[in-house]
Amino acid sequence: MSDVDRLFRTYNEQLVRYLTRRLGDRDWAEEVAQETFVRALRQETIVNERAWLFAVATNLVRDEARKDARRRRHLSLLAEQEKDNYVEPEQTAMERAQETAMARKAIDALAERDRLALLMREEGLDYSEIAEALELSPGSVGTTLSRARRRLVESYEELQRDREAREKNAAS
Amino acid sequence: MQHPDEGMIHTWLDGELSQEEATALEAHVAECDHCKAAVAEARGFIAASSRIVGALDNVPGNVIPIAKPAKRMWYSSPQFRAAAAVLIVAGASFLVMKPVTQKSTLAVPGRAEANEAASAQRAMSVPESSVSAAHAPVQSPVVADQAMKRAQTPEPSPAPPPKEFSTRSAPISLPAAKVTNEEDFAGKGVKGGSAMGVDSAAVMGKVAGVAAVAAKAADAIRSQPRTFAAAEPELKVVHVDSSALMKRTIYQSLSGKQVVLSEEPANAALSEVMITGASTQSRKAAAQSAPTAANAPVAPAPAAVAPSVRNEIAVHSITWMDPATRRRYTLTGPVSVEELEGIKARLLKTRQ
Repeated sequence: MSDVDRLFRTYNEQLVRYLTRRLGDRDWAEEVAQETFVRALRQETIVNERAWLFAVATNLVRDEARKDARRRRHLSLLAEQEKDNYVEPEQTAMERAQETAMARKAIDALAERDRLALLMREEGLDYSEIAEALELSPGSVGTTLSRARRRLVESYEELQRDREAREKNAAS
Repeated sequence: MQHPDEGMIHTWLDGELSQEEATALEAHVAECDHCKAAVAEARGFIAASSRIVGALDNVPGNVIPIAKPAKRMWYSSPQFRAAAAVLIVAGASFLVMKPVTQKSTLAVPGRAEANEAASAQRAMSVPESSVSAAHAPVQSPVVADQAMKRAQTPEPSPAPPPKEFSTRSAPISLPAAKVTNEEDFAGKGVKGGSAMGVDSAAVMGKVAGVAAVAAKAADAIRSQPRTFAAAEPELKVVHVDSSALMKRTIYQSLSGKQVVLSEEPANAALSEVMITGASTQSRKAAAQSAPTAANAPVAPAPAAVAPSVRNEIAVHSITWMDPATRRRYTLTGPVSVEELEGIKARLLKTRQ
């Protein structure tokens, strides 16, 4: 088994999940992940594999930031269109969908660096790996993560309160 | 120990503090209520953020597809499309041209007039053909190349063409270039033979309409008076073409007739290779200069052409040897033998 095969088998799942959370699009995430492994193929030596892979994947996403914005606009447009054809799903499915939508909004509200650090940490990267991938000083990772977590949770809770208020208004 | 900041608490909870730092912080938190609350809050944030991030993985059933930019396939590139267009045109041209070629070469013994008509039609189809076409018909480079390709790439033929085909099919009023190609064409067992193998009467019926029209054109061309003016003293060199073995010089007299002087080593193998092997440059030059005999058999005529036919087409050749240079000279042109002799005399005089 070649080195890239091993890298793929070891890190692909994490990388795709990280990218999916970051991008909100699994297909796109898989594309970026594949491109990341292709880059790894061309790399002669990789010291810290996971940090390197996440850094490259993050940079690839950053390079496509404009496309990202365009896609999001497109997605919003599609979502608007979908509302017209909306079919009432099961309650649990709807709640899950709302939860996901709020999570997406909350995560999007974070600063880019905070968001990436948080998503990387969720994939099990240690502080030194995050620092390397995001070119941060190792001492600042804890601060970055604490800020990201607090803001994410606060943002999410705010969205939750808004939704509850809307539902209350709708009920009354 | 001072109260740890939020970042340090998270670092501690994430297990990223050194052993010493962790021990010190743990001792402080155990005694400090403020820090206890902060740690509890941090634990809550860590758990909640994990849950929120995990919610991103929830994919609803009717997920909204994201239109991704369509990938350009290799066959959708402009270069490939251009190449495909060229191929299609080339293929269509081949299909269109092929039946015409077969029809025009369908010279059935006893039906020479039809073949002549078809050949005349080809002569007429040349853009520059005019009254003078009878004497100096132009064979465009494209036609010349196609004839050459046909000659060089014979299609599999179940049976060789009848011997009389090559003889009788030599278009009587065609320029020598045509004769050359036809001879070459037939001599190599080209499609004419297989075309002959099919129901020639049926095919002939299909080309009858074309042949009838073309026959009139051929008659008109042949009816033009042939002004075989004697070679003028001023022989103008139109084109010189040299190859490894042979040098060809096309002269044009004041009367407009063009004759070809071929010179080659006396022992050179004179074969159709010399004809088919003529360089593209020479073919183009010959075609551009509208020579009657530019593509004429620079070598002695192949045996397939009967002498009687050669007399009829009014293209003559004379050959002589120069003992001094041990080279063989062949003078060919749409003029009489006497006129060729006169031109030869002038050439010898000039060369001396």
